[in-house]
Amino acid sequence: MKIKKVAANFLEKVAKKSSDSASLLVSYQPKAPKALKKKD
Amino acid sequence: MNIIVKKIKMVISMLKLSLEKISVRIINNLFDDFSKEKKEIMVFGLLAIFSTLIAYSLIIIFSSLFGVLLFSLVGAVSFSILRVFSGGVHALTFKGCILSSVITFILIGLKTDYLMAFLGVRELSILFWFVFILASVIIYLYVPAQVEENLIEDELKRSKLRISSFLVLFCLLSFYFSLTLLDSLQGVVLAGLLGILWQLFTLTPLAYKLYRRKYIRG
Repeated sequence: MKIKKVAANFLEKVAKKSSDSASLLVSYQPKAPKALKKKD
Repeated sequence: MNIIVKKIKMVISMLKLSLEKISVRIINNLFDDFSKEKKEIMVFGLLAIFSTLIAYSLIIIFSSLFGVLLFSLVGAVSFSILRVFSGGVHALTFKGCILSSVITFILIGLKTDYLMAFLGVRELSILFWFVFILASVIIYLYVPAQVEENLIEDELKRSKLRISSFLVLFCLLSFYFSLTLLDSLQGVVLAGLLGILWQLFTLTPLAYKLYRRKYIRG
């Protein structure tokens, strides 16, 4: 259960970073989910 | 040749579709008790990880075929480190992302391999100063470079990204400068500097034009 929470937090952080236009390559970037914007 | 390119594009399109499906399936299976909103965010995160892993894997495979794995990888890593903070243009499609990343870093590897023979400590020092001055101006003017899908509206956040980019640039350049003292690593230094230069280019309005994206000032 703890691992699941850590994994979920990690994925959320990656999503957050990615939605700030930061990504490791000239990657394709889909529109970030609305829920992510609400979190700001 | 045309048929091969068409086939490659088709495979990449299929890969993108399956990646989205796989990400949704993984998140739905592993996190079934989470809310729908949270799951959407996690799918977005997982897709970002998958696309980066695929692009890096392809860079490793193809640059190995050309015999420039080390240089391509050093260029890609320098590029990526700076990009996390500075942002930059994004490709319009998944195909565009994969193809431009792989082609760019193979070219950086090949260019480094070719130019290495002409480089001495003096030339590298000049290049260092050139990159430092150019980077300072570009970071000041264009960071954070954004895309219209995901804008950064908070001014404080934008200033933080600008300052972080300067610090990361300084650390990267200091690291590579220390490597110039070792004769055998001059190629690595050059590849790193070319990676930084390419990332600087992706911050400029010209890069947005090249990738057919609307330029949004940071």
